[in-house]
Amino acid sequence: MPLYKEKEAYVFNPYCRLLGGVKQALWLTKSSLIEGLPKSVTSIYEDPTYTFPNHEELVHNTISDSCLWSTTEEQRPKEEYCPKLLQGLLHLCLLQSCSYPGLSQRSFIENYRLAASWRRESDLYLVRGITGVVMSAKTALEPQASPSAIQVTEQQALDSLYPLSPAIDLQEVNVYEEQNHLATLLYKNPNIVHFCFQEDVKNLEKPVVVQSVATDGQLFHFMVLQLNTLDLESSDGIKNIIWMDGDQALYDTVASKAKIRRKVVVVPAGVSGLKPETFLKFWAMYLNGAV
Amino acid sequence: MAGRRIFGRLQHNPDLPAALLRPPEPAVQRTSLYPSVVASMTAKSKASRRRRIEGHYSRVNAQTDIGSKLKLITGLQRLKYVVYPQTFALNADRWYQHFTKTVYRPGLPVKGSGLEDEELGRLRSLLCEALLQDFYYAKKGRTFLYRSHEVSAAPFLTNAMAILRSQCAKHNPSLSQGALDVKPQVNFYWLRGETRVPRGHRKGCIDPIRFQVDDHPLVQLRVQKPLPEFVPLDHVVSEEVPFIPFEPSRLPLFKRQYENNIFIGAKLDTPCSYGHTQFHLVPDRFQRDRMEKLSLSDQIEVFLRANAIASLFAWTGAQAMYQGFWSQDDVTRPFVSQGVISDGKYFSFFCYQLNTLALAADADKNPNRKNICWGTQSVPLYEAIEEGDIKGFNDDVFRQLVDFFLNRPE
Repeated sequence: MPLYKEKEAYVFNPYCRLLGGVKQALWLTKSSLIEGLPKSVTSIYEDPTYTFPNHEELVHNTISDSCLWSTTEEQRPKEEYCPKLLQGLLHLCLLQSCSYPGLSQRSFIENYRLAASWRRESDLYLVRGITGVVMSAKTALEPQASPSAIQVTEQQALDSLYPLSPAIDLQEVNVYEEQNHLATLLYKNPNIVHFCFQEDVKNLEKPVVVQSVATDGQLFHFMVLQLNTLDLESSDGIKNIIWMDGDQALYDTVASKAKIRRKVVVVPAGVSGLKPETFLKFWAMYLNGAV
Repeated sequence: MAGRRIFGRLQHNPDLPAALLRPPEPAVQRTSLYPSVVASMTAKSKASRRRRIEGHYSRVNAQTDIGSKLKLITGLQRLKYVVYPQTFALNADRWYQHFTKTVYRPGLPVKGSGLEDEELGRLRSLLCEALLQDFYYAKKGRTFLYRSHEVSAAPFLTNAMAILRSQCAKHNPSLSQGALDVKPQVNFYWLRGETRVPRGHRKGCIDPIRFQVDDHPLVQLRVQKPLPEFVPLDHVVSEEVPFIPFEPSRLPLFKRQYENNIFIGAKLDTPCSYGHTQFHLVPDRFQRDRMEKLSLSDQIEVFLRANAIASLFAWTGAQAMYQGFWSQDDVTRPFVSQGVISDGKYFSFFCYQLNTLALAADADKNPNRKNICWGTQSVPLYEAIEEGDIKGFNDDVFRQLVDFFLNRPE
């Protein structure tokens, strides 16, 4: 085999479930974590002028449509309605582009094949696979952290995973090729930190910012990554910054029929406990860069 | 015979409430001392069969809840012909016109709406960008055999629908309240004509021919209010519906038995229960170059027409049944939807107006009521894409596409 190499590489694909979780992902990408979302997103989220009227009703209809109404069965299984819900929410956001002209300069790509590779502490790591939806814009997002905040990360140490190996749960391969394709923003993947990490340049003049939203159909995870350095070999020096806001539920339950146990309604019929704040966060992430 | 079966099934259906089982009691007028002489409910006679069928009809008509009405109409499962809108059968459009009582009219019904040139130019640049994005910029690998239409054409049409909808929402506010379904499911079940059961224990019975469409458009747009009619309901069309004297199995169509479904892409609870526009994608095996290679170039347009007639009839018919109309209780207002069939390059446009649902043999009384399908021949949107540049962009096709989205409910 021409591509056979003696030294093995570690591949991350959408089916990997990392034992080390966020800590492992942070180590692999040499990033420091900040809880919550960056200033530019929260300012959109908190400003009521950016919301649009009857968004609650529209989100409610989108959830019911993707989960309950769009099938002749009682309810769709989660694997089917999760992409439908995401698509519905994206179309809902896209519908607002007549009020925000910047939004029409976006494009969606489905079934995009990603490829990236980097070296970390003498091991080679690869990312391969097909993601959900990639949305790309013509203009780059502004850097979210100031240069002084970037310098602070130089002192921060990465958490060690010991006794686990940092490559745990990654697929070990000997036949591989080093490729890099560019990607900007992606959705629908539980281990998003890896996938966001794709650039084709070695020396960054200006930090690159990408955003990502992952969902399982109910919980949403929002993440913003600022790529400050591509020197990942050593753990010293400045680090990349990740803002994360995880486990935000869009609604409590959704069911076609009410579930009753001992004469008490456990799960009411339809969508219950809708949390419009989560959708507003989604909308703020979508709108970021266009206003 | 059929009536007795229906009655027997309903008697043993535990889901139905007891009130549904018996025909509603008519208001009694005590003119005669004795009850009127009616046919037996269970005998093996023509009169008895008619009485059972009429009892079923009055039960359906007495329903106020549309969900249980549809359940009663689709309740009886029998072998039915499965109509595939995208079919390989030769000259299927004439057969489908016969099944759906549709006349085909070339050309589209005139509509006077339009945008200023500046706005159109902006829309055109957005559409061209989406076209380049999917056919030129995005690096897409090889795919499976006969599925290459899923790589570029399907995402382009989905994106085009989303872009045009969001941009036209400014001029057509009903779109912003509408629902966009990606790869929805549309089903319709209807009866048309009669045949003799050829074999089995019901051999010799006269049975209605049952049809079922299970359609999967690429994207569809539903709105809350119905689109305006193209022609009035009592408008008499001069064209004749083609009559096919053969069994549908000669097309060929095949019989299967499974659940009868009537579905517009969303359940009855949805606020958007009227159709606006459907986009259909021509699969790879019906692409023009392949049809020409098989020396079937005369079937290219036939395929598109058959697809439009079957899909739009199914969708529009399901919308009418969601409003409570059915074959024994014909529509009192026409229902309208629009369709675009494309393979990513060639576009053809169709408008459908449903004037009648009374297609079953015992209901098809008025020969002047016909469903109408308007359509155009397929025209390329562009000549070629070379080096990030679109050659020969066809403005008429683009304007027609925008006009479809500007069609607004009254």
